[in-house]
Amino acid sequence: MDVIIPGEKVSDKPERFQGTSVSNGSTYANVVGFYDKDRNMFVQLVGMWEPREGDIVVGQISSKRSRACYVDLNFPYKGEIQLRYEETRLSTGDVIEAEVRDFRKFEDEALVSLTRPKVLHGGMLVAVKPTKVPRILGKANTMIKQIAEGTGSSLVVGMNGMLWIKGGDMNLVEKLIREVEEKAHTNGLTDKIKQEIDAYKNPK
Amino acid sequence: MEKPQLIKNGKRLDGRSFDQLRPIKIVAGVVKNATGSAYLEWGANKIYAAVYGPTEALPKHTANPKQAVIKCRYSMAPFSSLEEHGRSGANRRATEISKVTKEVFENAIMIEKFPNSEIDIYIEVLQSDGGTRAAGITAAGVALADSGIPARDIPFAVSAGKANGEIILDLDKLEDNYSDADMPVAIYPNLGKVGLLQMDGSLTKEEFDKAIGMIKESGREISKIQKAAISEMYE
Repeated sequence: MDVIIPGEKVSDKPERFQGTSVSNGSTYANVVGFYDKDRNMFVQLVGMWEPREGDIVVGQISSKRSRACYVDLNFPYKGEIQLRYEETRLSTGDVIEAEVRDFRKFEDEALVSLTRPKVLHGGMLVAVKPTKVPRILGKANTMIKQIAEGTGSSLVVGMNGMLWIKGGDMNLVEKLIREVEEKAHTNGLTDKIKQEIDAYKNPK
Repeated sequence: MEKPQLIKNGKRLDGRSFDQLRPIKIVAGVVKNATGSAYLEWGANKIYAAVYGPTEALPKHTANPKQAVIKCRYSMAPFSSLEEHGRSGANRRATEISKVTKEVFENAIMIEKFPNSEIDIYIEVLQSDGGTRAAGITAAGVALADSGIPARDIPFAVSAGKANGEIILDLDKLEDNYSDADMPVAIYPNLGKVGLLQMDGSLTKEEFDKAIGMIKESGREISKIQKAAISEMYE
């Protein structure tokens, strides 16, 4: 794997990869990553979450006004839930799962507009690097299903890098998640996690 | 103290040739709480750099609705040096270095992507031996790459100067104090632009060109070390 650092050339052609920008007809990296020849794409190794419509996020309600709730998303900008559209009762301090409606940047402030909130009772929150979320989910959610079924916990993964865990052995889940986060770029990770879950289930 | 002879028999006091860097070692990702971080040893300099953010800009009146605000704090630990540099906290010198470092990173980071937010850069010098502002920028560059904040380029910095009529690269503390000129320069290697250029003393135009040439040449080596520090995290 050839690591590319910000400022280095990714491609001689102008390409629309995430985490890159085009200048003078060539594509340059803006974050650390590598070029995947087989898939013709730039894979980010670090980076920030870019809100998109339909993304599931997890956050905590930081303040409430008569018309809207504001959600701390571990992101530079707050999430906003307009209460007139929602039926769920929300109060400050609640941990919620919600869907991104859009991301608006106004002249004076930017907000991630959220919809369909669901209060998550109990459990705990874990923050991971947002770029590692796809790996934690796995292809067709295989990794997260394996962890949830293996440990008997319920999990909600927010694209913003916040995870909610409840039930089962939460410390084990956190340990496994951290391991996936740290070794996201290595091969055979699913099998390795499976072995660890098996070892936990059948202690010798 | 009398001015020492800085160059003897075509060599510098520590045995380096005129265009030779001190040994550099960088480790990235050393501060777990930070968004990005790096530890650097450059000769006898020991520096930690950490980048936090972007977060909501506080206090709110500092926020800029068009772009992110960069806040930079360069500071020397009280035990970092025997002499007057080892004063901790904000002083005239630290304030100046914080300002120029901030400006270097304002041009490297894509600040227009994060209006109303703030990005904090901390540079802490644990041990100093000359050229700490250059070393600090080099370390913060690696911390920036580690953080994942979108950037146009990763800057490096190094100083050049003049002693006993010779142009020398990467001045240490003794050379810095007794040289005829000292010029720290920060460069964006891929953009081919200069982010910082300061000078104490004086150089003729030819000497200046020679010094800049040396800095550009050494930059390849420094950039390679910066990149190696990042690559090491993903092996």
